[in-house]
Amino acid sequence: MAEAFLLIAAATGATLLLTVSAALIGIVLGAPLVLLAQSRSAILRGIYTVFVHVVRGVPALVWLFIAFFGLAELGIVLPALASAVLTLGIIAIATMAEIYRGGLAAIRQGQYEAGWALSLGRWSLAKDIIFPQLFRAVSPTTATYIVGLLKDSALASIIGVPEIVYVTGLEVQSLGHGLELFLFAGLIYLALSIPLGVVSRVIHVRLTRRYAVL
Amino acid sequence: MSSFLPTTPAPLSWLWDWYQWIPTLLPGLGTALLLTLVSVGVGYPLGFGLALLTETRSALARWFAIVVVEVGRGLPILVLLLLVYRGLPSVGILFDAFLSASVALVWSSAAYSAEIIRTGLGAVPRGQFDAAYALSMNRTDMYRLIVLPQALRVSIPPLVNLGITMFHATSLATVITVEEIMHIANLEGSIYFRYMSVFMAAAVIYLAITVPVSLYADRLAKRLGGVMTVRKTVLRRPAGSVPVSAES
Repeated sequence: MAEAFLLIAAATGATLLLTVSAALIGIVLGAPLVLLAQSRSAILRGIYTVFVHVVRGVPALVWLFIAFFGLAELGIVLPALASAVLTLGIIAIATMAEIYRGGLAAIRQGQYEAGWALSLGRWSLAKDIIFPQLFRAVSPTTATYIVGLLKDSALASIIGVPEIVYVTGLEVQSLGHGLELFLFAGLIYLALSIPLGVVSRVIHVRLTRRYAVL
Repeated sequence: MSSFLPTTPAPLSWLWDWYQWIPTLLPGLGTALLLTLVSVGVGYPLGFGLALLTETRSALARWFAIVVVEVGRGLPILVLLLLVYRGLPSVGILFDAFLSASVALVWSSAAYSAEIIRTGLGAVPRGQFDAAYALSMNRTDMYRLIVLPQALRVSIPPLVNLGITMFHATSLATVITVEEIMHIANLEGSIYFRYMSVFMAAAVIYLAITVPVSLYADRLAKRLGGVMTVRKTVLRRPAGSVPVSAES
């Protein structure tokens, strides 16, 4: 039993690897995607809307199976871990783009006008005026989403990535004690999401203090 | 489905032949919708109860509600499913697959909806409660006539979105052998080795339900527009009365 607890706890590494890689992919690549939503071209905006609705309108499990079984059928054989990162990453891109879009919508038109009035360049306007406010606006939502990703990463167990839920399933199969072991797995998720919440609150408070404009 | 067998499909045939799997997957959609209905129909009322419990004076009731909500929201739904289906039997509680999935999804939806409803109740201004006390309303009437109509304006759009999340979450029940869409899709895909085509069909089915509902939720959010929006009907002149300006 004690060994089972240790093995499950050790699988936390894989869970965190999945969560962090998907989050980074989303945070970085969501930014260029949201530019499509801000574009003057109706076609580009349309592409954005369709992409976001299709990616988020289908359960993650379907994308995971397409990335793992479907691509293999087409001759693209990915390891389970890569399929899981790819799936969670693409969903994270669409979600983060939506979060950025919400953040941009919260910035008042007057902020841009003030920048123009001071004849700031485009880059300076973005870097000194828009980004700090955007960062502050999206940080709580992003933190909440990363906690969501942490829980979604459990899906990877279905295609055999040895993260928390997969290892717990194996241990329960050989030892029984399903209740204790799955509760333990659940406690790890709770324990991981609490510090994330605290960190996000601290960051938010700091940012609000530094840029208390609007 | 036997029509697929004789010839090897063209490499990209999944782009156009996915629709042939739709009839095979439809019974799974029925199961998924039934599970969604259970998780919403049982989960939301429980969520309302939990939301009220988190604000009672009894510390015991409050802590009970907080633990139920935080566990329901903090654990992945997959873990809840496995906890009920593979964990509870070790203490002698045996549910079949569908009932296990129902219990896990109800727990999750109750926990999330409790938070949504609590936010909605919190958005109703204090003065509305005071006004109800001033009219010496009892608690039931206060909630039924004053508080809930305003709280629901805030809560309904996120509750509709939570319904979509629960519909998506029914796909997870495949791991505990509930015969919903993904269970059938996986089975068919492995028999005919036509994963791409079958999963495309599954994706289309999910989209066909999700996209209209989420567009509706967006529209609803815009129309309801938060607490204390004065409804036009209130301002309308009662039928038969004479407008003031007509007399002067």
